[in-house]
Amino acid sequence: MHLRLKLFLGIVLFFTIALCFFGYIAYDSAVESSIKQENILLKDLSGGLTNDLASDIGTQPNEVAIKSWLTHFKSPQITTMVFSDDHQIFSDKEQKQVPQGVMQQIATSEPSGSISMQQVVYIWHSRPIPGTRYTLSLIHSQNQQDARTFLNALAMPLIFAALIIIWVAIWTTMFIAALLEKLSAQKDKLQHQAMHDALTSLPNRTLMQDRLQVAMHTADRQRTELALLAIDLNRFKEINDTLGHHCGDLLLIEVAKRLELGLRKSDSVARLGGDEFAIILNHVEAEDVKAIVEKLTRLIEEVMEIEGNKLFISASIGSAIFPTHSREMDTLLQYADVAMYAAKKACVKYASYSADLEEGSREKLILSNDLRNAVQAGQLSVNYQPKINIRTGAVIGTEALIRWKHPTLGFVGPDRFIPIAEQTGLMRPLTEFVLDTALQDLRRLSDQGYTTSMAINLSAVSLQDPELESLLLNAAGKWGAQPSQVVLEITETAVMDKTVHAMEVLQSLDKLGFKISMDDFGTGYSSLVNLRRLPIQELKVDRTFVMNMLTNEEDATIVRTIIDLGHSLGKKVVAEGVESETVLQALAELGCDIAQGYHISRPVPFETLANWLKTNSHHTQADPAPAPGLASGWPIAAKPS
Amino acid sequence: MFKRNLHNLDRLARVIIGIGCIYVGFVDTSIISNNVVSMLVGIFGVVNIFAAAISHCPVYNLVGLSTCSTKSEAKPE
Repeated sequence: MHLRLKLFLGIVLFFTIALCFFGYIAYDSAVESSIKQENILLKDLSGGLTNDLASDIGTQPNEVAIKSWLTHFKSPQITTMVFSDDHQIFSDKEQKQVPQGVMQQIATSEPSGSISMQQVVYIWHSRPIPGTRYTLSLIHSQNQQDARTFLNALAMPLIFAALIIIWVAIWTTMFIAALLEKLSAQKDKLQHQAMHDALTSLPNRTLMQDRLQVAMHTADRQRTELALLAIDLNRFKEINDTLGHHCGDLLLIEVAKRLELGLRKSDSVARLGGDEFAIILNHVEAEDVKAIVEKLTRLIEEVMEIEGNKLFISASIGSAIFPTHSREMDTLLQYADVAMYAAKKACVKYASYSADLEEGSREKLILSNDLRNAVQAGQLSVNYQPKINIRTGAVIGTEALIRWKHPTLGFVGPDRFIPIAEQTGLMRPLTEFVLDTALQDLRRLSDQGYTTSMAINLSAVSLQDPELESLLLNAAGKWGAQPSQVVLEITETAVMDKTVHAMEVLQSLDKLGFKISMDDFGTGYSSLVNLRRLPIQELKVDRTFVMNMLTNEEDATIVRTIIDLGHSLGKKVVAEGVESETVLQALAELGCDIAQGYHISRPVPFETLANWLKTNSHHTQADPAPAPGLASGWPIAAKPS
Repeated sequence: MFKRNLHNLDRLARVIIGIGCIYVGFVDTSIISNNVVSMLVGIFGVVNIFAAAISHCPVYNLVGLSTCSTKSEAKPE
C-alpha cells in the first residue's frame, strides 16, 4: 500500500504539472493563432480599402479627402487611422477606441503586429495608399474578455480530456503497482520457501548453514564461543506410525514453537528434516550450554496435547563448540551429530562432543560402508554351534552364526555390525546370505546322513520386512529343507518391541511350519500374556544367567524360574553359555532340556562341524545316553551314512 | 457474481459523477464542444453507473482495494 500511495501521489502531481504546461502552451498557441488570423483578415481588408481609396480620391490626395472618404467606412471593432510619411497622424476624431499612444506606436513600427494595453489587444495592419504619401492602418481592438470567450470553448474539452487522461493514468499506475507488489510478494515467498521449512516455518538446512557461517565469523572476530546443538526426537517414528502423519506434523510444529520459546533472540533454531533440529547458540561459554540444554529438554518433555492425545516426547541433544571442537562448519555439524547419536545410544538426554565419540562413529561409518560390499567380497561366513539334548546327550541342532572378516579390522563381531546393518537397511541381504549358506550346509549335513535342525537368528528389523516369508520359503525350497527343520531365533526385545505386529508375523511363520525360539530370554520385558499367546516352541535362557548360576544365587534362581516357566507353558528350555561340566550337570538337575556353549563346542566353520559330528556320532538320539558331559565327546542325533 | 467492493457512499458518488458525465457527454454536448471528448466523458459516466449498480469496481479488484465496510477485504492478500 505504501508503494501504491507514493505512486498515486507521484502520478497525480506529474500529470497535473504536465497538463498545466500543456494547457499553457495550448492557450498561448491559441492566442497567437487568433492574432495571426486577425492580421490576415486586416491585411486583406486594408488591401481592398487602399485600392478603393486611391481610385476614388485619385487626383486630390489630401488629408481632408481621405478623412471624408473614410467616414463611409464604419465598423464597431475596426478603427481606421491614416498617417503621413513623417508619421503625422490624422484620424477620425469620433473613433476613440484606440488610445493616442498606441496609434503613435503603430505609426512608427512594423506594418503588421499586435500590442496589448489595458486589457485590450490591438491588432493592426498598415498599408500605404497608392499614389499618395499616406498610409492607412486598420486597427482591430479586441477586448481580452472576448479572447476568453474564445478560449473557454477550447478549455472545456481540454479540461475534460485532461481529467480522463489523469483518471486512466492513475488506474494504470495502480494496476502496475499492484502487479509489482504481487510479483515482489511472490519473489519473497519463493525466497522464504527456499530458506525455510514449510511445516514449521523455521529456517532450513541451507539458511542454518548460512547463519552458522556468519555466527562463526562473528565469534571468531569477537573471540567468543558458540555452540551448535543437534536435536533428534526420540520415538517420533512411533508417534507418526501410530497416530498418523498429521499428528506427527502437529507435534513437530509444537516442538519448533517450544524450541523458539526457550531461546534468546540472538540464537537460531532450524529444522534440518524429519525430526531433526539444530540450534546455534551465540556467545555462550561451554559451561552454560548444559543449562540451556536442560531448559530445552524440560520444554520439550512437557506434556503435549495434540488432537486430544496427551503425548510425552523426549529428545537426544548433542553439542559441539566453536572454536574448541572445530573451526570448520561441516566438521562442527558432524561433531554435533556424533554427540547427538552418542546421547541417543546411551539413552541420555544430552552429550557434548568429545574425540572418543568420534572414534566410535568413525568406525561405524567405515563398517557401514564396507558392509555393503562384504557379501560380494566373500568376507562374510557362517559358523555353527551345536545344541545338545541334556537328558540324552544327542545333538539336536545347530545355530548358524554370522562372521565377518574385515580386510583391515580383522574379525568383527555381529554385536558390532548387526546394529549398523539394521540402521542402514542392509539387514535383508545379510539375512538372505545366512539363510542361503545355512540351509545349503543343512542340506550337505542331510546328504551326509545327519538329520538335524538349523537355527537362524532374525533381527527385529527382519521381522518388519514384508519379504521375510518369501525369503524363508525361497531358501528352504532351494535347498530342499523342511520348515520344521528351521528354527527362527528371535530376541525377546525384538518381539516385545512391536508386540502386535510381531505376533502376526510369528503366527504366519508358525503356520508355515517354522519353529520359533525366543532368544536372550530374561533380558527383556516379556509380558506373560504375550508369552502364552506367541507361537514359540523354545525359550533360550540368556547366557549371562547361565554363566554365573553357580556363583550367583540370584542368577541360579532366575534360571530355575525360567525353566519352570517354560515347562509350565509347554515350551522347551535351552540354556546358552554352558562353559563347564558342572554347569551342565546343574542344568540337568534343574530339568533344562537343551544346552549350548563352549563346553560343548565353540561356533565352528562347516568343515569343522562336519568332522566334529563324525567324531561325536557314536550316540544316536534313540540311544538313552546317561548323564551328559563325558569327556569323550557328544552324541549325535543322526546315524552316519 | 462479483465480489462486493464498493461502499454505499462510494456507489452514490459514482452515480452522481456518472449522471453528470452522461449529461455532459451525451445529452448537452455543447458544454464540451468536442465530440470525441464528449463521447469519452459519456463512456466514463456509463462505466461509473455500471460499477455502482453491481457494487463492484474491476479496477479496485485489480488493485486489491475495497471501500466495503469489511476491513479484511481492504488489503490485498
